[in-house]
Amino acid sequence: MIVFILQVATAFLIAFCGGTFSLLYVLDRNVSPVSVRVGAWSALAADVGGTPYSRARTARRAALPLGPGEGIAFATAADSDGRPLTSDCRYTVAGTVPPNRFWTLEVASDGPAAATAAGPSAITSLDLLRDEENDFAVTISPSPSPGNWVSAPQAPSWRLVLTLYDTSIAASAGVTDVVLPRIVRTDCRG
Amino acid sequence: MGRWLLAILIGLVGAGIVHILVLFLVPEVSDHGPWEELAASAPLQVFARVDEDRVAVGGAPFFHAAACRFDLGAGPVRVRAEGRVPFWSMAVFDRFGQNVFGVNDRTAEGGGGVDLLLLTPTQMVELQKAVPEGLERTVYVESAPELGIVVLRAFMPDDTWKGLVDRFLGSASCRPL
Repeated sequence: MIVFILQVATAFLIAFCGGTFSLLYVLDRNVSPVSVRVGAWSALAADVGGTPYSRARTARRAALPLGPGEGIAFATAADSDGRPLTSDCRYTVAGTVPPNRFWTLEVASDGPAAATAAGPSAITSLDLLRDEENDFAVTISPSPSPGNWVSAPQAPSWRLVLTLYDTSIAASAGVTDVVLPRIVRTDCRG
Repeated sequence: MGRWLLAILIGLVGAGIVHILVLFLVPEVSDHGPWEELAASAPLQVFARVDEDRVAVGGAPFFHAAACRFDLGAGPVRVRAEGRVPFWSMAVFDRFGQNVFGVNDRTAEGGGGVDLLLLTPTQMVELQKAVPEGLERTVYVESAPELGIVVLRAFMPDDTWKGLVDRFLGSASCRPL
């Protein structure tokens, strides 16, 4: 009799735990729905999936990100050579950006914004200084730099988010043909 | 031995059933979704500034957003805002936060500002029989789900634009027609 009860309990346990944990695993695995990779960047797309999984995902965390008619955001936690971004190093973001009305580059870190020395955490293409060939370069570093500078946070892990607004690539499926700026590590301390 | 294997097998099948059940239950019972978070700050058919800590709309520090939960059950809802900002965009989501539609100040015809009409496909058919006064330049946005969220985002290149952006978002309205 006891053995029978144990067998029934085992069945219930496997059903309940297996079902719930497998679901949580699938939902949490893509905390930021990643659709396309372009170089070091990954596109963050709003959930147009409409599948039960994307519904369940948005039900667990309230987010209303940019849709295809508004713009498209790309994020990266590593430089163009694949090394994770760290505040011990300085980075230069330079290159080409797909046609857009304007774009913004911001530094995003999880958790409360650490008290960085007074410095911009983001920059828009409208404020950009360009050289004679109309190219730009943005320096990401904890200490101020001449030219276009964005302050890197003191957080252990952070991301760069490049958001393009009113761009034709946001709605099309040809995002993989797109070329985005490179993130080059210039020098590190320590 | 056989009985244990049977128990495990039944458990695995049960796991599949539980997985699917919970998958469909999560949106229904969750109180952390965008709809629930916005319900805490404003009633239906009212625009309220979005608190980034409660609902992640992104775009900080350059974008500020206001959101309105709408219900098309009683008829089409008109979304308007006054004033000019360097750039605005608007997105429509369904009740579960799935993106339905997106537009910005260039792609929205009319050129006069934010003037959109949200309506179900059935209401669209009704309206096309007789276009009411004043809607000649309004952009019609079809939303099959009756319940949804409109998010209006305004671009603020720097703090000198704060007054204009606050007035723009403050003037946003989503009222039944």
